[in-house]
Amino acid sequence: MSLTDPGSEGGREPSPGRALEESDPLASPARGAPDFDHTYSTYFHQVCRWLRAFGCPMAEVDDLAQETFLVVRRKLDDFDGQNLPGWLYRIAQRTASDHRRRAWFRRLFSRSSEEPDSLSAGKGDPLQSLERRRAERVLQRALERMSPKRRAAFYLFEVEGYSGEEIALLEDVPVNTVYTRIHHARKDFVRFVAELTADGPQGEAP
Amino acid sequence: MKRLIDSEAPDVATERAQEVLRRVRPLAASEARLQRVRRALDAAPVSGGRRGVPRFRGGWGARAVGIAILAGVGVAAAAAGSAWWTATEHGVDAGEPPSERSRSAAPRVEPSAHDPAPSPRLESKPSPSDPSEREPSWTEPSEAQPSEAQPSEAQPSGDNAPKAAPRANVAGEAAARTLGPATGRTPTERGARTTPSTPRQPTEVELLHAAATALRRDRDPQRALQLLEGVSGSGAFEEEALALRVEAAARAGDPRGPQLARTYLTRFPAGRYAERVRESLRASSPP
Repeated sequence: MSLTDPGSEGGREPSPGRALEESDPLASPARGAPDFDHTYSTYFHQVCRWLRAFGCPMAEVDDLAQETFLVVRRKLDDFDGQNLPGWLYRIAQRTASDHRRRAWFRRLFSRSSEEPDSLSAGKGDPLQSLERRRAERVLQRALERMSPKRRAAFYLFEVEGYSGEEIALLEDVPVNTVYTRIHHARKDFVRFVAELTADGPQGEAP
Repeated sequence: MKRLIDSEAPDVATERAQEVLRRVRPLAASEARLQRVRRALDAAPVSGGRRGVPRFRGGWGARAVGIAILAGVGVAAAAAGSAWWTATEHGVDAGEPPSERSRSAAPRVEPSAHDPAPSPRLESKPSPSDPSEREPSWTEPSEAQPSEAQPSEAQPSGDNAPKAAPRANVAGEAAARTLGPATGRTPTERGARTTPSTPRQPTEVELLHAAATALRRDRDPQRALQLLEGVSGSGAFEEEALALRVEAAARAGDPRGPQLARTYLTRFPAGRYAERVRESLRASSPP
């Protein structure tokens, strides 16, 4: 299984099955200036997942992925060829950061606080779909309360199934730093979920 | 390190968190999304920045020209603002004719380039462009020495001292009345901007300056006499005021001229304007 498409099978795969393989683009960084088409087709889904890990709403992932690859296309010739996933990851990070800054301004003129992706219809059993939407909403709110570094590490590890080494490669930090972030993020997450799912007008059952 | 959903939950809160994570699915790879974004990317300009935002394509030359234009506009705006500020500070309106301008600037203490008539204390050279003003006036002091007037102030006459204060107020109002209609401004207008409830009376220096201007440039000795009424007869500018009054009375044909000249010579026999006053007295007396 390739890391370029971990979610294509529709479920979560444990980390050992997705570990560093020779064909994995995260495990074998490209050397030299890569071709844009190859970069796009290889890393597009990764970029979308990273954008989700940075807290971007699902409805805006397409736009932000496009913005990210616009930057990639413009700057690809200047890429030093050392760590392509890490380079793309940082571009996506800055794009998401800029988007959050603009979103603050947009919210001044928007009445709706409901994210559009939470209103999308699910497939299959309506009850399961409803429960999943509630769980996604709780997850999204809990992630919003985390620090950006913990949020990214937690989401990529717990939801997307990345390994600590892969996250360390993307973030360009030691693996132990990633595990430390995940450890603290878990504590935060448990606490936030307890608060968000508590009985009361503000709470939501998962 | 195990994932949270693969670990054993030590408490209920962790169980709830695990339940949330189990129900959430990772983002599925979508070929439709990939193609959609790719089409949008192909439609976007290659060197363009953000979608819909035109990118500046000019070189450094165009940027330098733009910066120069901006700098020029800034300098012009600063110059216009400075000119307006200066005009406002001196009470000069750009639309006023030159004579009106000089009249409105007359009561100010600051010497103005448009005003060739000097204040008795604040001397300045007459403008060489005006022949009539090039001739030195006899009431002009050779040098400003405020300490010279102090001895006369220290020994006021008994009848002059009590009259000085009320007369200054009356003449101040007269000065305001006299200068007001000519310029649309009053000498107290600047003070009235900051404290509109208490209009400021013109000081003795301003009155002397206005009187000198009215006498020599506007050829209006009557107004000069009226303005000089506000100057204290025992103040620091007593000598200047008395000399100006003698000159104004002589020009206006006022019968009080000889009496004023004699008063001056009595009080300042060695004054700076004594010689001129004696000439005026000789000219007014019948041969």
